[in-house]
Amino acid sequence: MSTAVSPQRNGGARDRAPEGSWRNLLRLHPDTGVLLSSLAILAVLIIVFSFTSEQFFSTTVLVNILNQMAIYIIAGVGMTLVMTSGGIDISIGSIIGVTATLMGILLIDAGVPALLAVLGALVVGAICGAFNGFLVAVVRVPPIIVTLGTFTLFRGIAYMLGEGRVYMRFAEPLPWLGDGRILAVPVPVYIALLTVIGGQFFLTSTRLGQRITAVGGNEEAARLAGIDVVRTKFLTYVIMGSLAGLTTVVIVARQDAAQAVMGTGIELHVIAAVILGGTSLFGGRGLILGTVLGALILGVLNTGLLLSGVVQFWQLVAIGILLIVVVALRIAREGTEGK
Amino acid sequence: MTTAEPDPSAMQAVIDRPSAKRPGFAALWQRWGGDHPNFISLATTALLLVALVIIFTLVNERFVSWRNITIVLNQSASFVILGVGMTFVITTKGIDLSIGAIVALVGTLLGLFIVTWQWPVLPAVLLGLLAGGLCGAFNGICVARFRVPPLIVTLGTMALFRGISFVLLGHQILFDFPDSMLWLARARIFGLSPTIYLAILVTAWGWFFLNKTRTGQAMIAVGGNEEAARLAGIDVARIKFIAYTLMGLLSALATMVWVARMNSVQAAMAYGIEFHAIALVVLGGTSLFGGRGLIMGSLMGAVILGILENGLVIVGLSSFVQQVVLGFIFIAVVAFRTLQFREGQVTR
Repeated sequence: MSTAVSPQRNGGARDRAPEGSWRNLLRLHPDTGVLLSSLAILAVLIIVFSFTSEQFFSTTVLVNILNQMAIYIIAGVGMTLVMTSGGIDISIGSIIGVTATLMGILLIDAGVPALLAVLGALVVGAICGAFNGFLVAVVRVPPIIVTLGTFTLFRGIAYMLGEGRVYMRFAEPLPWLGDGRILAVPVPVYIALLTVIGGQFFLTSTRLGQRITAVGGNEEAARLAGIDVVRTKFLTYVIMGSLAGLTTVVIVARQDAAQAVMGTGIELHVIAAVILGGTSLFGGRGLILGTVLGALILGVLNTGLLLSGVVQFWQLVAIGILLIVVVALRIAREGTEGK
Repeated sequence: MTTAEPDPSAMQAVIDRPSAKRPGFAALWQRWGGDHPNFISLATTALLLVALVIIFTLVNERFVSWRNITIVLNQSASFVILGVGMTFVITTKGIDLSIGAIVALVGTLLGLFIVTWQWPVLPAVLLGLLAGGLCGAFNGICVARFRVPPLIVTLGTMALFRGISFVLLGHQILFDFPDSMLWLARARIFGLSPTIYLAILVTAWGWFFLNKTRTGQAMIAVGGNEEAARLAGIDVARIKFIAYTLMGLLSALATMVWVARMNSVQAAMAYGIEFHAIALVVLGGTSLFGGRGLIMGSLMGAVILGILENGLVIVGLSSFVQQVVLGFIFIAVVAFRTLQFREGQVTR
């Protein structure tokens, strides 16, 4: 199956460089090359910020960055899958709004135990994702348009359910998920780590994961190879939805509060993390580990700017510029070499 | 077909085949509609518009009062202008998510120029238009020259332009614009505000540009089939660049209308208007798959959204419920148009 997927990328390998050279190695392993370039961006940022701020280079800051980025990594794993399938989901912030409101209602109004509320968040997230997935896969509306619609729709539903209330002070097991620590490392980091390991295994080693890559690489070829394209795309959005639900659990647990506005604007950071990590914009190449690097790039950027005393608003500017420049460079490179 | 006896009704059906002699009305309609897809789309949009007016009038007869009609038109004016630009962009098979941020940036600049630094209005407005055009040109260069997908470019510039607005203005709200700035929304010419005439002018120009000029026709060609357009000698990059630049310019123009109406600006203004602008274009029948742009449809789409917002308030729904209703309508229309498009693809 993996050979059926990769020739698209490797097929054009014109061996101008001698055997075993760096360029040749990278051409045969394009993913490694992309991951290395993300790593390089990360390294440059870390070096720059360790000059501009004295406190930057410490374990506390490192743990903090990991902890802050946990939610972007969890949602990013789902977004990586969606973008690998050739789609996009800008409704995740609104899905988080719906599931957060629901968790608040379940925990405070209904007094449900934490475990059930967590399950409820995952299930409702999956249902929201299934709605997106149905429209994308079955009705075949372009994903950007579908999720632009549900971006508004889900947020409206969240406000309708929450009516402006803020749910606070949850019973004990839940807040622990947000600020508890195991071996000095915050629990959200472990949740993110497990999601990444699961996502990596799913994408590279399960049949459905490989089908997602195949569908994103060449939908028509995937269909002719006997892959149920509709089902594959549908399930991709369902997984995205439930991971948005998991993201909600971490956000709600960490803030020890739940309200309808939660998750506003998160899609920008999540999509930026995925793209900075090297997942292809056009589908067919998903790099879960790259997404982790992308999230770390964003985290280092945020924390570094903050510690260097730059006004907080510059972060938006920096993310916007970084996103466009990195994508333009990658497209320039792949345009001349990859195809 | 497995029955041994010849079925008389089936025999009759064979004789009455549409292609035989007298094509039935349905067949005629279908063939005519196939040749005039734009007319069909515009007609369905107009029908929706009329239906909404009737429904809201039945609910509350004051809905069709002159006063309420002018309110709806005034509210829709800035979206009509944005809709013309978005029609260009979507016709070239692109999308622009950054228009809310462009409006915020231009609004921020206007606020700084006019309110904080007390500049005269005219140079401030001209500089604002220039800034909007430059924002659009930046999107255009990234899309056309560097070939970054429009979605990613405008997602990036959405953060970038909004970020710059916040850097410039922080959480300040600037208000108290001079009367010459507010004239656009406050004055009355034959009972209507200048913004409405401006919106009509922009629409008329947009229709002429898209349908009667070479550049406009090239936009349709590029959206329909980029490769074919390139082979036909069209400079695809230039056409795309023009579409995004015009979008930026029109966003700046819409900002003028916005500022004149609200009399205040802040960095967080116009958040989420890209959804409205895209929704009205899709409502109007412009193809999401590129190659077909209906300026008049977008005009009706903007009025439909205006009527819905106004009507839902009159009916007494909260803004949250309105958002849900708008979201549902948007998704239903998009799904309908997509199915229509797929059907057309199969039959032709």
